[in-house]
Amino acid sequence: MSNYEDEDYFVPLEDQRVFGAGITKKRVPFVRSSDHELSTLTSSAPNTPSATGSSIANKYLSIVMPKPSTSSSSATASSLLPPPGATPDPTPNDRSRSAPPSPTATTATCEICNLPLPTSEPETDPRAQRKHESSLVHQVCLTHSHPPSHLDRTRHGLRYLESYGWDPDSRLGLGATGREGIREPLKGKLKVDTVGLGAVLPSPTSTAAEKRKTEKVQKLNAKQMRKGHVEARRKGEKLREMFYRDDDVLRYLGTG
Amino acid sequence: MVDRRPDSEDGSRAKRQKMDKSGTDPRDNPYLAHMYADTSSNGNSSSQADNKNSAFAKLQRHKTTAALAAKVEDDDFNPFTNRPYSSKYFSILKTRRDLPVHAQRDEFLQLYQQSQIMVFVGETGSGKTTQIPQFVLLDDLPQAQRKMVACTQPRRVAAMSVAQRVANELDVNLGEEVGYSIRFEDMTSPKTILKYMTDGMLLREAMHDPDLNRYSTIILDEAHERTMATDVLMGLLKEVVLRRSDLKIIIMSATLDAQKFQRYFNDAPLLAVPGRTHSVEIFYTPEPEQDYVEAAIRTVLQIHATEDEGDILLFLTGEEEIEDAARKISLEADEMVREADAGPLKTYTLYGSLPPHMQQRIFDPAPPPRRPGGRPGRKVIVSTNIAETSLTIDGIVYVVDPGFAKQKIYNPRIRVESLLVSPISKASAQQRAGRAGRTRPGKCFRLYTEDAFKKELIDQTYPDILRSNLSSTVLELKKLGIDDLVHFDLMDPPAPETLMRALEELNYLACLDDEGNLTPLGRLASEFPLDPALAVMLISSPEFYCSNEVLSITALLSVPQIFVRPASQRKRADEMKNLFAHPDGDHLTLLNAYHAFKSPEAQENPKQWCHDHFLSLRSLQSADNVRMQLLRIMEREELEMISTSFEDKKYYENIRRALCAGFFMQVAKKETQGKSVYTTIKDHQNVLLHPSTVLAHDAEWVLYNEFVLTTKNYIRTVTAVKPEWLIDIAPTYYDISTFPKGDIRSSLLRAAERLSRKEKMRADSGKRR
Repeated sequence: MSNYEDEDYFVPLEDQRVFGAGITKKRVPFVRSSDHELSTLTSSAPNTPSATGSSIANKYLSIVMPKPSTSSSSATASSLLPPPGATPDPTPNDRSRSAPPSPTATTATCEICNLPLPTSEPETDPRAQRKHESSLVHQVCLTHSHPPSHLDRTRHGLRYLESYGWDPDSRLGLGATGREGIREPLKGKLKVDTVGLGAVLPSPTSTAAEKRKTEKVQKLNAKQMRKGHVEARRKGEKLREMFYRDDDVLRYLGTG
Repeated sequence: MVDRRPDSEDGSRAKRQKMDKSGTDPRDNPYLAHMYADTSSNGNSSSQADNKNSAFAKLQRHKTTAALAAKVEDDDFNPFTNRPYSSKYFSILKTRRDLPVHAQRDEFLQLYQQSQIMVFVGETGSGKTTQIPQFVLLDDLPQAQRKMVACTQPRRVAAMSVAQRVANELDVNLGEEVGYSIRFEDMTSPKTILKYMTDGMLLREAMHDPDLNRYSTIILDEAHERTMATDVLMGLLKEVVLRRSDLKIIIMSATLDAQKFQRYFNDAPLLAVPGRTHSVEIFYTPEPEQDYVEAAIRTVLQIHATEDEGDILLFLTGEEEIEDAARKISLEADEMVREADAGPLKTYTLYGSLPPHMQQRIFDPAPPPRRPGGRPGRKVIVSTNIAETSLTIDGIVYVVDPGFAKQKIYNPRIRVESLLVSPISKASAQQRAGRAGRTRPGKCFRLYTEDAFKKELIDQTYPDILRSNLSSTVLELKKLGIDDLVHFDLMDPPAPETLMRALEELNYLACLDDEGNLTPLGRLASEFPLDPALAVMLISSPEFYCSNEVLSITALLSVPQIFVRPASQRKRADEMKNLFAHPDGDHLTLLNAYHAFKSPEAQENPKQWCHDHFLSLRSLQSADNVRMQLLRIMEREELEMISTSFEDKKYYENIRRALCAGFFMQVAKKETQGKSVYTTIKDHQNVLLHPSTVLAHDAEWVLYNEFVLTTKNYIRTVTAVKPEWLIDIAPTYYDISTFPKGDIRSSLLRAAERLSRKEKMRADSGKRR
């Protein structure tokens, strides 16, 4: 045994073990996979982005009312929700609602959000229609214009792509029609630590919180405040000027 | 091309007629001469063709069945060479028939005959890479068409080794009927009918032969790896098949995401063959690990202590991490042997920059028990993701997967390609797990939670084309005649910004004109299997009277690092490197080292000399080889090979100017404040000189070969340059009016002033004369 001790003595510092002898002291636990064996990829297709009005409404409901039982919450929901007659499988909670419209009226649906319109004759009741149109669900489903692409319009490469019919504002990638590719380049994230997959280190967040605390304590005198104020205003003006002087922006705004 | 009528009817008739000596030979009948026009034109091959028909007579093009093909294979004579088969042939044939693909030969042939494009899915170990091309040979009969069958591989080594294997299986000499073609090496002959090649080589061939007329069937193997060249080839072949109805395409993939290929090729039929793999049980950690390296080491030791016999494969990310972990594992294992009477554990490492003989060691058998009847020994291989697809190691039963790999990513905004440690994909994780089931049922230990697997990992690894600089690909596409890069049908089209960047870079390099058309320089540059910047540098080097030297530098930049710096002898290695150091930078230092290597003194015993000087013999030799290949292209393109006299004081300056001609977009200027901090031109990235540089003085302007993104931004392989040269050589890029006010602009202005003053002086002195 003494031999070993001698050996340990001469192990240079950098070569010394990082964790103690005997791995049994701190085992890495493992659990069996739920589907047990290596199987082919289950294409767990995430919810398609083309959400319909009702799916958004349902999602919203599930957030707002984890346990839909109180009458008050169901009342607030009714402004957003289709009348219960539209749902194929009404829950007991739905049945408890006070005044469900007659099921015959539910055939009319909004073209945009695919939701049944709230009243039996939507055309004749502009107020109800406006209420529906201003509802969150309807607004989410509206197609709306997008801001123009950030690409610098003077770039030579863009000119080339445009000459072959690519529109930077089309929000489409390159490639054959109908199978367009990604719109933005992939982004990498620099990883320099050896933190495992899915693990969150508690330390950086706590230090950040501490930092915030110390920042709060800092006090400024009047002069510093004034200086900061002037600085901020100058910055804002500069930014505005830069923005409104841009030809592309003017063109987009339609004043140029 | 003349049709040689391979149909068996014709062949057998000819044979019968030949034997029938009593009647008049119809060959002598002048009215029937047209029927034999081709065979009589080259008498030698006609007899060969007749002989060939003796075996191939049983076959009819695109009508072969498995039974018919088996008959030909069981024949005594090799129909390809007309020699009797060796005894080895039949023993190999027996093992070939045991491969999983063989059971589905008929199904394969039917689909192949019916369709122009098909997708073939065979898991690792199914034998697809060696067998499918042979199945095709006996059905497509390319020799009768004077065409070839091509089978592409993503890696050079695979192309070479598979070609060798298939040549053995067919009992022919490598390089004759079966050959290979990789960058800088062509092992084929006019006899070749089956050619294994890298996908990049096929793409280069397409540049000169856009319809790929030399081939009757093209097999794209390992398509699931989605290399840049395979992706471009698929887009290209999709167009070629419209023009060539006689061309058949097989896409081979090892993973089951083949539906994506099917959809891409307009619902091509699919055939799947199960691999010879065993079940793999998968384990997750219940909680995320705080340190995946430590957890990995512990897991390996835990397996060694508690699990049955069987070797372990651990995936880590990079050389340093791997060597470190391997060292810790062996230390701990020794302790376990001493204290707990564990079996012996041998540790091997595996990564790309490891020399081949060291890589070969991973195939050594596991160590035996220390005494008869003792606990069995095992080996553990600590590897990068090379072992995920490229290399197959039998005997692995346990896989430890922390879920990370170094992956390339390209940022077109700052034009930097970097290798970052990032989470792998689900497909990649499954591939890793599959490695445990090669010999018997295995186990895979994932160092993350099942939840993380499902939620944090993307489904598929992004293909190369989305993570690379596209300038060389765009140049290739332009050379292939594809101008509409917007609608070119790639499986995964790159981001518009990445493509724009590539177009702009090529425009600055004058490979494309302002309208985006290929210039003569661009056409010339596409002839070189190099990055466009390197190619342009090489092409313009004669203008600077140093093409010999620039050619050497280009070759040295195309091979792995020549300077070796072992961890134990860093100081000595640095001293040796300083022998070659040139104060003006690393490119010139490379050149000095190369010249020293070529000196008669070093060539006496290059191995010893390299060892003494801490240089990599392998890198220098491959640089030599690359140089020779590039020289051949330069001679073919009639580029002048010249040097400035070494005594001339402009010897090194000329080389530095020539470097600017290719790398003027990779330049950084020193910050006025701050020590040794540089800013890259136009992209405004703060960078530091890499500690390995030999640059002796504080150069204000430097040109760099590589941008290394780690915790700090480094530029590696740098050489001092002058702004005057840059303005002179790349006036469009260094158009001062395009630079924002600041340090760089004023420095450029001063340089321009100096330049014009010098010009004026020259003009004045000219007038006086």
